[in-house]
Amino acid sequence: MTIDDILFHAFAFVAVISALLVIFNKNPVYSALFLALCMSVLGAMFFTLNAYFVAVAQITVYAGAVMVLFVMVVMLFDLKRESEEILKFSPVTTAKVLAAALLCGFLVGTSWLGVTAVKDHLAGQVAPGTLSADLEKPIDGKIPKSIISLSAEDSDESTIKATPEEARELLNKMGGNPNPDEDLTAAEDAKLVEKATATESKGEPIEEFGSTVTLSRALFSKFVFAFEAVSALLLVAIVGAVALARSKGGTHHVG
Amino acid sequence: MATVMHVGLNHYLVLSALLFSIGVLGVLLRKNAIVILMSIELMLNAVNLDFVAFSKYSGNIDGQAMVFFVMTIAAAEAAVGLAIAVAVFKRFKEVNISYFEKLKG
Repeated sequence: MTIDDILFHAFAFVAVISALLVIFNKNPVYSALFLALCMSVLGAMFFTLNAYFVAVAQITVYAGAVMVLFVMVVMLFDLKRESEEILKFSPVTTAKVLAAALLCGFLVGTSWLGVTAVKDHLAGQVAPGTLSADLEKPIDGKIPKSIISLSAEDSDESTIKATPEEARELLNKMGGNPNPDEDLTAAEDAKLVEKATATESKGEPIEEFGSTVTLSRALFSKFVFAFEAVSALLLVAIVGAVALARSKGGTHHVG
Repeated sequence: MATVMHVGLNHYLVLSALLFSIGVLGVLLRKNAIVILMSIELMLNAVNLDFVAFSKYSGNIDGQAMVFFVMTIAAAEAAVGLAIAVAVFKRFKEVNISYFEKLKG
């Protein structure tokens, strides 16, 4: 067991226990605090998954802003009078728990068996950008730019693969090949291509997967419409919340 | 046992399934509107974990962009939902979900 495995199991244990405490706690303040714990643990898990920006956003937005909103509203209410029995034994409660357990069973079964089936199916035929054949082994750290790039047009062809002619030309320019006219075999060609690709891409550093640079490049080019739509949605949410507060019966009702 | 303890994509999917089911159970069992909103946040978080895990194991950054959007929408949903809860509490002095049907205008 590596340190990653130990971290995952510890985080998963804390996440599931705190999630259960969120729904089975009578006091909503404690529920909110356990939800904050659950979200922080998930944020830590995002760090181990190389999603650094998402992890920090999770901690600031969820465990910070959203939880402050929840706790503030809970504090606003008088909750002492609430004595709700959560798990009283009745046919309806039994049916609810059974339904949730059934859903859980379906989801766990399909995800566990499905991944195994996909792994078996994909073994041997892997294209970049699809699920890697060995799903036990994540694509780690530095990955080639061809996978990160958004579309075929955007990708810089020369960094992916240079043709043998280009490679020879490039190496001639750099004085790498002493005999430019010499006939090269296919194996030597392949070696040259590899060498040229390596030297050419040395100039620009390959971005790390999950870095803020790669994420923001995707956000502001491929998802730019969704990004703008989300800003419009936030505006609508702000207007809606203000309208609710100022309406008849709201907290800031005016005459 | 060794394969079960060695973490792969399916471990993240199973954890996410567990969290999602706990969220569903919370929505079904609780009457308090605030705890129901918290359970919905729990479900959204489970989906976020799925997105990030798939993003890591397929080497595609799009999943993380989706998580960004889910977070934004979750924040907006929490703000509006809590505003409605406050309106219900002012009227009925309780945030029981069964009072929501009496809201109008």
